[in-house]
Amino acid sequence: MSESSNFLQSLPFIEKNELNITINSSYSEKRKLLEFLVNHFKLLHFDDEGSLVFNLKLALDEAITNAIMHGNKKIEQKKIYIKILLTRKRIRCSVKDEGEGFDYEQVLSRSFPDLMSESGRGILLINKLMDSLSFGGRGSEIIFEKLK
Amino acid sequence: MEIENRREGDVEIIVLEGEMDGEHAIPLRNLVDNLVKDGTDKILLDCSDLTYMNSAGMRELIAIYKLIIQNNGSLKFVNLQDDIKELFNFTNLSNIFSIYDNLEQALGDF
Repeated sequence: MSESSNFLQSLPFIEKNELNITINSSYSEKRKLLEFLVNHFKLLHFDDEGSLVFNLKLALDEAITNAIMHGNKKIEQKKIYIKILLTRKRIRCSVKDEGEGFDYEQVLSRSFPDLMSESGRGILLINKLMDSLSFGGRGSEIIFEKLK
Repeated sequence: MEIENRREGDVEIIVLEGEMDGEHAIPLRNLVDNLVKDGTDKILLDCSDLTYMNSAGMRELIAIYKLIIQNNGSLKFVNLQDDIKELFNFTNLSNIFSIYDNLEQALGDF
């Protein structure tokens, strides 16, 4: 059995319209989760709706990457909790890490970084791609919604 | 991400296929680094089959762009898929990258 199949078997509950998934702070687990979610979204025909799958994948990718790098400081054993609620009109995602949060108001007050800057785009991308963005736990949880 | 490269005249065409994140972009950065060291100054990225990119992938592209420019070279992009073109637009990267809709046009503009 492939590594990917093992990972998918380990995925927790998908109950009706809500997915609750916990992963380690690992880029390989992030990639496998994103692959699983994209397939799940396609099964739900989200790919009939223009850029919806691309945008959701990118927003989740950026949120989980921030959780790994900045929230959990790349400590693999630290967990990331992902919750996705699917309703007829919207998709609501939450990504929570075990860190102390960050000054999200300062980040959101910026425009896209200097053209030649090699970093600083993650949260701003989520803000641009999604219809709403909020934070919990002083920044250790990021919550975003996309209307369908 | 799969990477293939070929020479057309004095332009190196690099064909990207799949998804570009920070990790997947490392072989691309290594390839461009070697090309620049060998004196190649015209590089074209064919993105027809590039289906996804995150901010780490964008960061790598900016690093590659800087490397080429610092060595007095030129980098062009061709055939971006709509989602990635949109991403370049709202992050303002389309203001620094030279982007073309077809290969002939891009090759003719070096």
